[in-house]
Amino acid sequence: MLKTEEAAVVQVEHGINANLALRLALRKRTADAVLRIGVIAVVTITSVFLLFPVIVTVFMAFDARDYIGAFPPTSFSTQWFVQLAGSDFLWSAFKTSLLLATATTIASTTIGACAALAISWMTPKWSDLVTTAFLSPLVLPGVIIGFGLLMFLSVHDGLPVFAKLFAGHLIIALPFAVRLTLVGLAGISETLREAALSLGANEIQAFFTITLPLAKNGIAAGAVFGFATSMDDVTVSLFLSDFNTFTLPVALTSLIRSSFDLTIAAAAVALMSVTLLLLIVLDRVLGLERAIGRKT
Amino acid sequence: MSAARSKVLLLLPAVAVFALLLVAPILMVLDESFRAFEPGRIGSVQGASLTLANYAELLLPAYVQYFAQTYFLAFCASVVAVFIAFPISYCIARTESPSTRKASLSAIVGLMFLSALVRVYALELTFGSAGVLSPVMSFMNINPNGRQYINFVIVAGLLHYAIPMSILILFGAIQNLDPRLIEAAQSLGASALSSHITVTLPLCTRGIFSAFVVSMTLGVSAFIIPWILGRGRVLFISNLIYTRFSEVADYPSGAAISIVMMVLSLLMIFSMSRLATSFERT
Amino acid sequence: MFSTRRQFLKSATSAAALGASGSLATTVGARAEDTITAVDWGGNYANEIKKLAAKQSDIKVNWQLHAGGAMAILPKIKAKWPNPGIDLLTGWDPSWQMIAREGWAEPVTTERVPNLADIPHKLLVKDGSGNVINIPRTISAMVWFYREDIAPFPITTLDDLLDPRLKGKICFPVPSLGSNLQMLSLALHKGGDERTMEPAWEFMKKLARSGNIGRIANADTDITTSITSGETCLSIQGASAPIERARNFKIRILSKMDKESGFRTFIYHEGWCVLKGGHTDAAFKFANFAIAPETNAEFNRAISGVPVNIKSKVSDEIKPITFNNEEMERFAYIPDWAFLSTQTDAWMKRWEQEIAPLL
Repeated sequence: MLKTEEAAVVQVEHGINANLALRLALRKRTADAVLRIGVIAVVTITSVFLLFPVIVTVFMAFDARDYIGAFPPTSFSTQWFVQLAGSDFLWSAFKTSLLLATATTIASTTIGACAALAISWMTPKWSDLVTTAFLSPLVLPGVIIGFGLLMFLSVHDGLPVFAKLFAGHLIIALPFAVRLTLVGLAGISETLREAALSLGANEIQAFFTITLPLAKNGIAAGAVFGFATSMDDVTVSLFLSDFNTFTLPVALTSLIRSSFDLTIAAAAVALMSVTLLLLIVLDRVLGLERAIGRKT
Repeated sequence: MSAARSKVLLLLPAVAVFALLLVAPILMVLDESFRAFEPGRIGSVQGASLTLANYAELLLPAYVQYFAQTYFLAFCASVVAVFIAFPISYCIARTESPSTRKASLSAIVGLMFLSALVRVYALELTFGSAGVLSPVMSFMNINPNGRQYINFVIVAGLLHYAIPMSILILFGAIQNLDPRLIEAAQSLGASALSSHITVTLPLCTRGIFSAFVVSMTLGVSAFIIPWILGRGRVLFISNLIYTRFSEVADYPSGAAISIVMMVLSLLMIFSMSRLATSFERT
Repeated sequence: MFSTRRQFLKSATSAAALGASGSLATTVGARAEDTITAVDWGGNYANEIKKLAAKQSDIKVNWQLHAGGAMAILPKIKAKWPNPGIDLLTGWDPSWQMIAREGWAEPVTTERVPNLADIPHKLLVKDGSGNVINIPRTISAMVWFYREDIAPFPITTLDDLLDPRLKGKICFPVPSLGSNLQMLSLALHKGGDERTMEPAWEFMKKLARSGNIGRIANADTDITTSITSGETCLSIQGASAPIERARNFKIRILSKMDKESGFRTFIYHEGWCVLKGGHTDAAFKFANFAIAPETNAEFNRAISGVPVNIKSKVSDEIKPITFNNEEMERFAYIPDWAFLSTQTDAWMKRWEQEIAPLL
């Protein structure tokens, strides 16, 4: 009698435990499912939100009307692309922009990565201060940087406009290089480098075998941001361009400010196509994963 | 090569660039901000008298409101951007198929090359009061002409930059994580959500703060987005500065606003940076 | 246009063969002598003036566009002075006042610009030392207009702007755009003028509170875009744009309305000034060519403006902005531009403090 009672109690206890474990597992599974659905919803909504304007832009680029009418367009034509292809004004601007962005990217990535490396070796107190200083161009409106540089550089009259633009773009691209290299470096465990050092590698060897390969993502991301920033900057370039040397966004802004012309939509579509092409080339030559993500 | 010397050598080019191309010009702007302005002229006249009037003016409630509005909207956009970007970035970093990852990354980098001007006009055509979504708005009884709605559209415009940017910034941080940590936590019975909160998030603190600070600073200095999406009714600080510099040629006043904005923003990133460091240590 | 095309060809050829550089050196040399840099408005204006320039071969022009209003370029010139890099600059009444005060313009004389003799002297602006600084090319007018197809009712007076049926349907320019002629209309309607703007601010506050303003325009294109997309239906703008839009939309231009309606029309002119320190002779030569009777008529026909040359013919399309003497008296108002150009800063600040928060 007693035994069976005990057995029953044990059984009940066992049942409770099993039930609890089951309930916990179930709860975990529902929680995971809810999270998964939530994430899928976020990804879907965000994708639609981000891509919708791209689709609208493509429609705008093929709009046959010569004004901004209600969406969607009533008839289509390629007139804006014809105008884009025939515009010397935009072509020369595009070439300047491309050259400028390339020069800016190379300079800002090199200088920024070096600085980030030095910062990563500092004590937190110092690194905070220095990082803040280097990020400051990000918080300054382009208007101040452009205007300040214009006043400052006009003292040196002989400077070519391209050099002035380069100076302006360098200062706005540099924070990305510094910040993103730092992010890349932050993930690297200090112990790896120390291990390499203790195994007899010198600082330089440790840098090239451990730090650089691991920080590559950050540096590459900084370069991508630098290039994009330089290609897209309006405000700083607006102040520093002159009438013989000007960037694509400045040329487009003149078009948009003087009379809204859908050539800019065509230009955007063309730019996106060029970017896609670049990415494909980058992927074939380097592997996109290696350029942006990490796959060592 | 001593560590201290190499540190200095590595920092030198960046410091030189900053001193020459940022500090010196800003000092000129600072000087301009204390000059008296004579209406109808372009900028301050040579040898104009010194004054504090350009700063005193900013204490008027109307101007305090412009600052508050700019920082508030930029803050909202940054918080939302990080919240949305984190799971997306995580999915991209951890997806099984390399081609999905490649396609997503290409799309995001491609988005960053979408011209700012075109992007803003496209958003206007989508969310504007005569936009594609206007039937939806009237169905949901939203007044597309109200100030709240305009604020919402501006935040949407800011997000259109901030989300792809945050995704890319967080991507680097998440890639550097060891996926086995999460697996370990989950095999010990933690749910996906709690394991991410206790394991993934703390390890990505740097990245999250970075994404937030970059979004916030870009938001605060946004110019074209409020200029067009704000319909001229909601103004950001940059718009005020631009008007001073290029429409009315009152440089001294524009310079004063710029200086105040710069100081506020530097304080903000500095404190965020300190906060991130203290989070990391605990 | 020529210089940029040449630059384009230059890079194309240099990519193909190095031998081309010999011949290019000569063209570059020639360019330095008679190529001028001119800044014009974009869109229609730029296309038409380029067509005009293609009809002559003496002067080559590097065409550039204003990146904002007429004032936005002035800071850039200031920073580069005394080597602005611009020879021929387009502007209008208020910007002449600024340029006159800075003393940037090369004096214009009939010896250097013979066709100036056929241009009404009333249009000429003088600087402090009594020299003429501008070469007019177009007379136009700032006009109120609305889209009849989407306006909820026929708009007949400025007081209609407060009608609740116009909720969100007005596009109003900021004071820095168009020298605040929009608020001057309000002032004139309520018994004020450019020096007595108080009534205008009162009216403006009511208008801002009414919620009828759907967009505040910062640039000319904001107005055009807002009207064509159907966001708003009523605004005030230089007549060229609404006349051109009238080809696609049912637009009513309120240029010939009685004084009681409050819709006043403001006559202005635009044209060029030649900046000191550049290729002044070539710039004057081109300007002289562009204001000859034939060329001036052709240009203005294309941009829907009134030619300044009294010997030029006027096209039919611009009837809403051509006035005979009696009409001029009834509908038009010519403000004190010199005074207006000194007020923009103060008006803009007052707008930011009192009007913008109500919108």
